Amino acid sequence: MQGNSKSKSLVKINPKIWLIQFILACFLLVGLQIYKPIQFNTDLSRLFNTMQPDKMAQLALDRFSAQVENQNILLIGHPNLTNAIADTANIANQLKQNSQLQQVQTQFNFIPEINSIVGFYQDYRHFLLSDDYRDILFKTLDNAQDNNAAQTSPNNALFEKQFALLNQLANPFVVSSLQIDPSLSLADYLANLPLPEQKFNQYQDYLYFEYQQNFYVLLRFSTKTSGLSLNDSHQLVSQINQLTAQLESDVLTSGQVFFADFASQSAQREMWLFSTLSVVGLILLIILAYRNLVSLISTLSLVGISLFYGYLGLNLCFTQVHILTFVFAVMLVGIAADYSFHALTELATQKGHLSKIKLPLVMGFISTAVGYLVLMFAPFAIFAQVGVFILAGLSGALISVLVLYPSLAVRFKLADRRNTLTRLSALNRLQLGYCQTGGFLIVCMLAVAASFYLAFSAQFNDDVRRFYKVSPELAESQQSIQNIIGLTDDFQFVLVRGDSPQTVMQDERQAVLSLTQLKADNVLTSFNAISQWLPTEQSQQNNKAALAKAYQAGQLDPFLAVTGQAFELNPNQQPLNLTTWLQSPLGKAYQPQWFDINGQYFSVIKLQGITDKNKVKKALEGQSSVLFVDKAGSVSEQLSHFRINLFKLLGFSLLAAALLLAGVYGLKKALFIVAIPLISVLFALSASALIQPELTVFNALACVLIIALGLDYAVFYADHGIALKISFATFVSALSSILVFAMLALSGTPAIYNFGLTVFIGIVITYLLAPFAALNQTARFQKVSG
Amino acid sequence: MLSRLNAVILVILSLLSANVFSAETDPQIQNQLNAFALNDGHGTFIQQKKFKLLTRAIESNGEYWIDNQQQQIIWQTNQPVFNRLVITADAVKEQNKPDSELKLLTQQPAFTQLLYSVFSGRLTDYPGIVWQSETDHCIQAKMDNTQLAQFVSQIQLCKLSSNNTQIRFFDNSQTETLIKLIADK
Repeated sequence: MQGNSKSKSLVKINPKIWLIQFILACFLLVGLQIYKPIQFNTDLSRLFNTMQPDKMAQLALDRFSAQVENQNILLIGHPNLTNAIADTANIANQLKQNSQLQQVQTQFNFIPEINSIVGFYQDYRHFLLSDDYRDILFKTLDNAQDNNAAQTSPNNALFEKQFALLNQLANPFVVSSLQIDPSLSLADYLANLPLPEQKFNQYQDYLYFEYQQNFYVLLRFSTKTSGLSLNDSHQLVSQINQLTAQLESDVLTSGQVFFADFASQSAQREMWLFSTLSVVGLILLIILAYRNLVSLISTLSLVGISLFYGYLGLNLCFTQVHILTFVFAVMLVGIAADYSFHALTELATQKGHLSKIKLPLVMGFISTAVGYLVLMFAPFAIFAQVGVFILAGLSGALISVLVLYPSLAVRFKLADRRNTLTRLSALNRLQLGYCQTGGFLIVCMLAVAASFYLAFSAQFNDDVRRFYKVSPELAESQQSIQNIIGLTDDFQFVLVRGDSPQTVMQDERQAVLSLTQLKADNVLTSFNAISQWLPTEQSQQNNKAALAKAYQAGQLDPFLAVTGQAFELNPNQQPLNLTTWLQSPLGKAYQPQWFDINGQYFSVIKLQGITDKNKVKKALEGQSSVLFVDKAGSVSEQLSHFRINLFKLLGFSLLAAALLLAGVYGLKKALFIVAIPLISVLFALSASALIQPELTVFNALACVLIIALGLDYAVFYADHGIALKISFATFVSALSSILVFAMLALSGTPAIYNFGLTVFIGIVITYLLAPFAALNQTARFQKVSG
Repeated sequence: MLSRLNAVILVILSLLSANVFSAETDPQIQNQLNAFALNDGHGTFIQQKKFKLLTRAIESNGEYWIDNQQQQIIWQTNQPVFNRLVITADAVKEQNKPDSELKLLTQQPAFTQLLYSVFSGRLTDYPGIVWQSETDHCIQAKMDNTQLAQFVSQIQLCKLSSNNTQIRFFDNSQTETLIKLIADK
């Protein structure tokens, strides 16, 4: 056969060379473990990390994200506040002993009182005007200028404004500032500050909320880093669980560390469960199929070797690997075992030679490798990690099979061993039976129907938040905290950047104007910006000049007459600057929203309750220094782009495979080979779409593997016809893969479930359709003795 | 969420308060409180605000409308300047001109609840406020919370006649706001 003649040209490697490289690889891995040990990441937020095109903006986002992601909260609730406070203090004392924590906070005694706020701002009075006060003042001056009668016509609007302030039932700012600023401009400015409308209460410096007959006391803690190690995060969460289990109080938790711990524990459980079941299933399969110890040991060794190379690949390419990567990586067990089964079957029938299947094996590897190469260059950490692991593992497995298995066959006389090959002759006959042209036409028609269904009915949703496994208790706890505090955890904000603090403040002010309009239009519920509290210095100067002008024009006189107070402007006063404000009682809270990196200044505007992201984007797109950041949305969007590009790439890959295979097997056979994975993908996606509410990028990702395995199986049939040994090898290898992916389809992590389900269906269909690849050649029934 | 919380914590000036040790209202006092309840309808008021700093009181007058079903009070100052407050248990909104838009003044529940209950006369104990009998006709409440007390430290209500109620607010700097309500007969 064409393929067989070419396969002879493949380089033959001495097993001793393999051994030397394996020993070197072992040393390399040990060295890496000692000098650059790989870190296991449990931080969910970094699972789909994407990079901003602007490096500086990325640095700023990383810095801000780290501050937010390290924060966790507990709400300790009890019908009696004293008990709730006692329990909170108790937990806090215990947590303070934990070296992984940077800060444990229960008492918030820095909450500024009105007198201290007025005390701080009084030095900057006259520079600060509320929007309303400024409008009235400026209109007053404009009118006075127009009428040229400023001295004689005091403005009613200004007087009315001032009197209304004075007459208000309870405006503590008026009482506190009347003496130092009889114009009441400062009182009005302070009264109009964007104070939060939150339901906080304070008792003995503890902050608490009332919710459903309980008093919930706040405990906040931050970890030293956002990505704690598996053990550290688990230890911390266990400690908290132990502490809270002893309490009568209801404890609500929220924060990265809780979600990460749950996800990592769940991933670890699944990883060990799936690995163990895969290996046990594999052992049973080998015992049933080959009925000899050598086959069992060699297959398990090959799986072990592939896992070793996969792990080495991860160590070489990454410093941090997410724990979920290893759950996906379980599929390496199934694929590596495939190589072993094909080789063992061939060695049993060809007296210790692999020459006839070298080419199909290499072709199968290339098709699989191309699929995973795509993943390696994916802009998402987890895909790249899975890609590297599988590719490195399969490379190790392929080389080991080609180099070691022939020697094993000779040494252990595999050709003389019995296997269950002959018992599968019925299966072989069945395949021969249904692989008729008519059958293939029916399959093609069904595939067309499936593609129509996919095109018109199936829905994709790549919302990144749906891919994590969240425990119902944690989700409920998080929801309760959101209800109590009244805040959501959408990580959406605006980043303003500039060469100087003043430029940033000016640009932020522009952004705030747009956001104010969006808020009025109910596009967002609230936002939080420094410039809401601190006007630009230019604006402050303008304010003071306007107030001075109004005073000189006698516009303040009517109100001053009512109060009997004297107004005085201090010419030596300086406007309030950012550095001073950030140190003020109010400004301290905003310090995390302001930072500079290498001479560039950044300010963050936090957004809350966005109903239409596109409107926010559009409103801000005119400002080049302003970047709207919607982490989850942006990742989801990129995942969708990735999915679309992945499908395009898979289309091109199939085309390339067809051309490549046409060179080896001829065009007609190549088209049959390529049709198998293509049809399998269509069926697998359609079936998944019927089972799942919506398809995701992970269903698309599964197509990579379906195509790789589909090409693999189809090439074997195309190369050998519907031969008994191929039926046998394909059956055993398909069974091993099905075993692995059926287990993944049982995963509690939605991403893994989506992936496992589609691959599982895809492999079953691929296995059933693969014999059609031999349609255009004489079907042969080879009876091979076992 | 947590960083927002951080900001919120620092800048909090919440008027909310709760009395940790709140108790059931004494039935006898509750009877006295019930006497202050105002029916739906219209009335007028005179307000005097006495700042310690100022030699003379700031006087104003206006009218009010109570709608118990809608749980809404319209508090309108007519002299010397126009100002209209729309007070509900959830929010206080302000209008500086008869035809201008209502502007939200506050949504702080404790404060809005306090204003609504005092002006409608539908008084009851709730966290942070415990009413006590002062005389046969007068009751008073002291704010049992430092935060709320920054705005109002003490309230006194006196029933002067069947349609005549007097309300006095005090803050920490002893500014007194004296309001006389005269309900239409």
